[in-house]
Amino acid sequence: MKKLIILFIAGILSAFSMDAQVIFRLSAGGVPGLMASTSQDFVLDRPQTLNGIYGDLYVLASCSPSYQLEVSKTLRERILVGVSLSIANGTGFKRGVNNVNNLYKKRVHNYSLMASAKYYYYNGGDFYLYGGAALGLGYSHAEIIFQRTYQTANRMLAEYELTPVGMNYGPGRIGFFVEGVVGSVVNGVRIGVKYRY
Amino acid sequence: MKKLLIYILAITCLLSCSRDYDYIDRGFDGTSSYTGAYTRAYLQQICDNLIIQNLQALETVLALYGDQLWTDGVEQKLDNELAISGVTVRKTSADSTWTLSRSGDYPINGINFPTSYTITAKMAPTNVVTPNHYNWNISLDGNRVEDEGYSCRFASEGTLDYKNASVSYKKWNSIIGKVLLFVDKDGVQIDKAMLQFKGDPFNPFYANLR
Repeated sequence: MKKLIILFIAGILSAFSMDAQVIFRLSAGGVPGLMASTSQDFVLDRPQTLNGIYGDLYVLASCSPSYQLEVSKTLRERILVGVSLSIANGTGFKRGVNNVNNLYKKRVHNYSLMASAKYYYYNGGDFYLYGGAALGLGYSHAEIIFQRTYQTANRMLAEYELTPVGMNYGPGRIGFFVEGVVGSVVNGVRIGVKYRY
Repeated sequence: MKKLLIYILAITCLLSCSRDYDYIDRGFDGTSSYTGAYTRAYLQQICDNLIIQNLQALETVLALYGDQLWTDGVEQKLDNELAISGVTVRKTSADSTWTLSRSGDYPINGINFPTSYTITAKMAPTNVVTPNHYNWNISLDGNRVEDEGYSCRFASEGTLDYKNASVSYKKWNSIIGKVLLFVDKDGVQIDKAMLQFKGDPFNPFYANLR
């Protein structure tokens, strides 16, 4: 996780070192309505079988949105490139096979660092439409808690996102955006604020 | 501008530092309400699929095969798309009682597993409003064998009264009675639950009887 943050800060510093407009975006993304992340480590499906209900499957109990901080700069007119750091947390439960209530609890923290590119295909002054894609690495840190002991399980994940349509409105330095996202971190919408430096 | 940057970085750090081991077991009382909700959904799905579909099938075939199926002891296996494939319908007694039985893969929640069941449906005295729709007294008994050693038995407790004599099938608006579910793992019972329908359109009452 520390490496990801260092890489992210390095990305920010490199963006500042270039003579170009820098844009910061802070957002939350997830399933519309729930605004919960759909990260690969979280089980969102309702269990459909007895094994799913009583067995070893961890069932998602709660899940945060995927919070994201993105720093990007204009590479050319209409094209932005950037780097983003996303964070989401989730909690799941597992029931013992003998049905002795919820013996196990699992907390998952997902971090992902992605390089992103956006293309502004409509420029209406204060209103923009854009699409984009992002690709990167994720780090999943899971804590499996059993009574008062816990063990951890960490793994790296490949992360990707596609943003077919995004809308951005903001007359000044500050703007607001909503975008539809399909990918491994968020499947749904992402909303947030933008600051142009 | 510098302040804004500091704020953004501070928020990011706060979010990433949410690992708090002290909370272990706190706010976690070991109840199983979430699993209860899934068991309830599972049981309701069984009722939806088995009772409603089979009654629809029975009324459909009584209209189509009328003369044959209204005779005592006559058995008819249904393999057409109007009914559930492979169901055997049999008139069992003179007081307008039919049994529907089937053994084989059956989809519940869209997933097939070997399922055997018998539904006994006795036509209740009624003022028939619509042709080919009747009131029924139903009893249900069946079992289902799933993977990883899980199996279950489902059965009505007493009879389910199905007041259906209208054009449309109103599902739980029309049923009064209780259905039980017994869940086994490797032959040992691990859960027991009950769903009680009250003849209204609202959620039936669910109780875990473990």
